[in-house]
Amino acid sequence: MSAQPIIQLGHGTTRFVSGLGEAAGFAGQILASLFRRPLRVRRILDEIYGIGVLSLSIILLSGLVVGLVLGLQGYTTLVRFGAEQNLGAMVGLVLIREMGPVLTALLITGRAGSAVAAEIGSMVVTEQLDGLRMMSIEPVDYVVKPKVVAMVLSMPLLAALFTVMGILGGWIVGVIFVGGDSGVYLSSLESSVVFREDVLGSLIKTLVFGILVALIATWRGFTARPSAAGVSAATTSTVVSASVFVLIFNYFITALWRF
Amino acid sequence: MEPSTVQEDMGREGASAPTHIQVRGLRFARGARTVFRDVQADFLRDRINVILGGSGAGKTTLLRMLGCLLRPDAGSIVVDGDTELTRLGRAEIRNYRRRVGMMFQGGALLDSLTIYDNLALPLREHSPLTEGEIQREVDHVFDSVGLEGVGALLPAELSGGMRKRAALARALVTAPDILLCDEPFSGLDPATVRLVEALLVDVNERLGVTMVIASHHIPSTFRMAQQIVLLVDGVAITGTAKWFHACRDPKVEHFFAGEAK
Repeated sequence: MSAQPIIQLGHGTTRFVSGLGEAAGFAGQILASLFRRPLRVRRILDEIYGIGVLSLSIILLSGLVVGLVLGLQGYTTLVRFGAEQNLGAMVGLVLIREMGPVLTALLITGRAGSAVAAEIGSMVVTEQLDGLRMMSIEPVDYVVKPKVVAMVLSMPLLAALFTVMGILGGWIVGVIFVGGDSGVYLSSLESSVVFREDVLGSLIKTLVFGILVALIATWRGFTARPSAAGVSAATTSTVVSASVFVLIFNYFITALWRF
Repeated sequence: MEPSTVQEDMGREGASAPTHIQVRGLRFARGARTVFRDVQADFLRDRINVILGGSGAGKTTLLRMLGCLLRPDAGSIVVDGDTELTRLGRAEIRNYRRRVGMMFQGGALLDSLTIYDNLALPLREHSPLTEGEIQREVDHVFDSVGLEGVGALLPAELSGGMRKRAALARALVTAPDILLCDEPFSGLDPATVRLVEALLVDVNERLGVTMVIASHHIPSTFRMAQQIVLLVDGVAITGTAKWFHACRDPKVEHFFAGEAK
């Protein structure tokens, strides 16, 4: 029997473990750079504009549409049990606990995470990162830190806006389309949402997702092979791995927060 | 074909200068391919040193080692007689690089910044200069490389020759002791090659900076180089243009014959 599959498995495992170690080292460098001056406030603000402000339209529109769908599905389900007065609570809880953080993270992965990986990857190809190193400027400090900080700060704000737009979508369906009472919709929402359990849990999720997406996107870009195909592979792998990690982490955070 | 039949003249003599960078016993392999077997070379202070070699001979690799962007598998690179590059830590490398400027093949200018901001960046990062003083420094360097009115443009808006000059300007703005240039003539038309070549000679004469240029452009090398380091078969052969002209080493003759073809 050929030993080739076992050798390949060994090489694959070694590569995986070594990659994990390198990624952890990279995360450590980013962490250290957060406490190093200059703080690069201007660059962080520029990145918040690129990652956060330019994502607003897609987040607001998606949030509204998701809210409309939740409103329709929720109403048709609840009305069977005569519980349509609970539409606000259902839409609000689903959005605050799960759909707001997760869908925002997935949308930001697709829009901003891929852009970050492609931008850093193309800087590798054109030797811009080496150019910075030769000027005694650490690329992690100058390029990566502002993107990571911007992503982590933007994610909770964007998720909050997504959720608000979703609740508005549910209200449009529940009040305007099916003629429900606006006060009932809002009071059921208000009485069912608990700050610590729901809002704080959601905030923690968005912060963790922000860190995850930022780390994966910058790491993939930073380690891109110096070719057009390398940048393309880095971009694709950012979207795939960040999306999968967001879904996996979502389960574990939910489980830990609830129990 | 001998080197002499390829060249237009025999270069600029002046090899009698102290060693600035000493390379000894350099070995380096990329996967299964050996790039350097045993490279020994001395790069002369304040002179134009050109690294010649065919494709894959390791010109850029050696240049990147001189900039601490790459570590050799074995051997030593000693600068100023006391700084052993292969043993420097992260902070020491950062300090060493403040004495070195590097002009990359594609320019490596930050494409999100204007040309002015590209030049001002290292001064803003490392010097206590005010914005007004930085502007004067940048304008001075723009003048010295013959660039005018491009400060507000982005790197993508420049022609190939202008981008090379902007890259040279950025490498010079911190007044380095050592200037590393990676293929400064690649992708340029003959007139622009002459222009960039004259610029490099002018900068070397005015600023007295030690230049190490990786190039495969033989005519310009023989016109401007005060010392040539030829990389063949994983080793280095060092000499002046005149020496290479008279050299009958089969490896040297074979390289120049191949390049001429």
